[in-house]
Order: sequence, then C-alpha cells, then structure tokens
Amino acid sequence: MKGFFSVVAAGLLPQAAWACSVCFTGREGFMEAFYATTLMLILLPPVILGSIGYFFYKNYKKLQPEQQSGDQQPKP
Amino acid sequence: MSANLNPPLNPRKPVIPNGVVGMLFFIAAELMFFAAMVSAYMILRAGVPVWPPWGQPRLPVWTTAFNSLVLLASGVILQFARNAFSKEDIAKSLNLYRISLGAGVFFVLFQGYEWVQLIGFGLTMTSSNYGGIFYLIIGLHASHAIAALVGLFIVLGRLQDPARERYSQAVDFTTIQIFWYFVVGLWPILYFTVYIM
Repeated sequence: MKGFFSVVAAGLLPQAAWACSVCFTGREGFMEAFYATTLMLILLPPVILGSIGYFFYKNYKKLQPEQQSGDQQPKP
Repeated sequence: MSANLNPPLNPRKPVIPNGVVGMLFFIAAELMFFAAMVSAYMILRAGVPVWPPWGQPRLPVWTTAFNSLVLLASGVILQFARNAFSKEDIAKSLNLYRISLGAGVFFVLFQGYEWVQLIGFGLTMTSSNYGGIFYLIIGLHASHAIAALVGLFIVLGRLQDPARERYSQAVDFTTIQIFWYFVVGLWPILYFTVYIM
C-alpha cells in the first residue's frame, strides 16, 4: 500500500522526479548538450571498433591470395 | 639432411603487424578519452549564458588557424614521405620526414608561445571553468603531440639505420604515422569546438 501511495505521490510531483543530480542550471540548451554528448559517447565505441574490424578484414582479404600462393609452393 | 631437419622458415606475413594493432587500440582508447573531454566542455559551455565568460580573454582564433594549417601540412608531408619510402626513394623520404617533423615541432612551440600570452592576459587553470577546460583539452592534445614528436624522432633514427630491415622500418613508420595522423586529425575537431564554436 505504501508503495502505491509513493508512486501516486511521485506522479503528482513530476518536477521533483525529473531532478537531476548533475544538473547545475535549468537552461534548455543544457539538457540538449547532455543528450548530444550522451549520444556521441554511445555511438563512438561501435564506430571505432567497427572501423578497426573493417580495417582488419580488408587487410586479411588483401593478404589471402598472397598467403595461398605462398602455401602452394613446394616445401624443401 | 640438414634441410629436412631444419626446413627454412616460411613465416606467414601478419595481417596487421603487432605494433600497428597496438597503436590502433591505443588510439581507440584515446579517442574515447578526448570524446569525454569534449563532452565535458560542451556541458560546461551549455550551462552558462555567456561563453567565454565575462572578464576572460578571447582565444587567438586566427593565429591558431595559421598554426593549424602548419600541423595539417605536417600530416600531408608525412604522407608524401611515406609514398617516397614505399617507392624506395629513401633520401627523399627522409628529407620530407624531417620537414614534417619540423612542422610538428613548430606547432608545439607556437602553441606554447600562445599559452604564455594567454596566461599573461589572465587566462589560467584557476581563473574560471573556461580556463580550466581550455588548458585541460588543449594541453592534453599538446602532450599527445609532444609524445608523437618523440616517437617521430625515434623512428627517424631507425629509418636512418642502414642495418635495420626494410620491413621493420616500414612497420615503425606506419605505427608512428598512425599516431601522428591521430594528433593531426583530432586537432581540427578540438580547434572548432574550443576556438570557434
């Protein structure tokens, strides 16, 4: 029952529920900066790792014919 | 007999040399580090109504633009040095490499001179958030530039060593080239974010 009333109380006080522990201003641009930087920090790791992975794959494909021709050489 | 017992080694060429792989992952980590710094800058900036804050000196946009061009030229010249190296024109490659290195040293010294001027005008680490984040971001880039220049000097010594294998020299060249391109490529982003935006 207490839980129910807590939820209702939180619903009646949306401003308090939105309070942010790291916000030091109420400016609109501030929230947009948070959104933009969060998005950047989320997207950057997959982009970086994907680029490195693609670089590996491209080099592997480039090297494959060379390796195969090397393997076919008769060994002494 | 000995040929059967000790067959000549036929080592497979690595897909990417170890040094290059190490450098790529190091740069991936550094990119995230700088992304965090840029994020901090953007949030600090968005939190105040006027940026730069009142009473703080404005950054030297045009002189730094000139310095940025020097740094970009350094990156382009290093690529020319690489092309000459690939064509086995070692003398030309070394000359271009030295010019690129010189341009890099100029960039760092010019930045240092700018900093001395800014400190003279009252922009210090403790003067405001503006000063703190400026020196943090630009200083971190400068420290990377200095580290890359040390690496370029070390690789120059190795490229001049005739006893060193050409393959090892190529790997050293590629590794430091990636690091220098990171320093050069990151700078326009930082310049735009901190000096222009």
